[in-house]
Amino acid sequence: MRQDLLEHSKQADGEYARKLVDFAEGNGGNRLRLKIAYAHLVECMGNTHQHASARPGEQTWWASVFRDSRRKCDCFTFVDMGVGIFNSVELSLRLRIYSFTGFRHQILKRLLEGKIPSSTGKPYRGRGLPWIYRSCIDQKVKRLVIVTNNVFGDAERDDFRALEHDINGVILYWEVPHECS
Amino acid sequence: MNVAEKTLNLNVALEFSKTPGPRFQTEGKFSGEEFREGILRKRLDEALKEGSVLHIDLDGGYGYATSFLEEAFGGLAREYESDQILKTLSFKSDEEPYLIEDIRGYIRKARSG
Repeated sequence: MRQDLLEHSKQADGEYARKLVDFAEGNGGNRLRLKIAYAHLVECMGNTHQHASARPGEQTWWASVFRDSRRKCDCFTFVDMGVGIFNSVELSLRLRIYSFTGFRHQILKRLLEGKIPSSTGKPYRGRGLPWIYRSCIDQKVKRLVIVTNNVFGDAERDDFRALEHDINGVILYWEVPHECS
Repeated sequence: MNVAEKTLNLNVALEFSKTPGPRFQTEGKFSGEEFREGILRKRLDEALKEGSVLHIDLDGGYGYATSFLEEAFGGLAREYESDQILKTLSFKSDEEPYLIEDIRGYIRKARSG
């Protein structure tokens, strides 16, 4: 039985998310629990389209699902190789200074907690990443990990730290258990 | 919801898409903007004209990105009064019950964030 599926595009299209979720459901995943994964995938695709490059829609995203039959969960990974969160979010001067003095990991956590306004300047925007974070805190998904630029964050373990090397773009990883734990 | 009121229905999965997309039409298909512009606003206008409740069924699809919901319902509340929308819309979401309070929050905070 095939264990994984990979999709990619530059568009934010629910059809790609549907394929990944259908694959997970066909391998034992719980349809209702997978609705969160669908929502996260589309949210991430939209973020890539809007924020990963200077002009919208230039960057490709890749998304995969891996069936971990031993741990009885579906593992989702979303990747884009755009500018990364720290080059796309318009940080306040104070936070920008923090950013250059090595506190980017704290800024990432504050972003995920919804404490940093959207780069669009519109107060009702910028809720996507906080919602993804909250889904992990609320245990709708497990083991949410985000890597962007030179920062690593593991939401479940509350482990946020700086990395030695910089990467281009954003990597998000989360797991959806087949059954409630 | 007052049971004596007339009710109009909108089933998102049947009348729009089972695979709702991103916030804006420029980002991809079946966006929140497309839903609001193509269906939701017309139904809301109809409900307001008749003094009806518009009952929106969110079940049956694959799921909803936050941006989709914010743009559809928060976007509506940036055109109309939030209180008016909250009184006119009711929701069913047996599959993801938490969405209802999320949407009400998007409507309440549509201008202020």
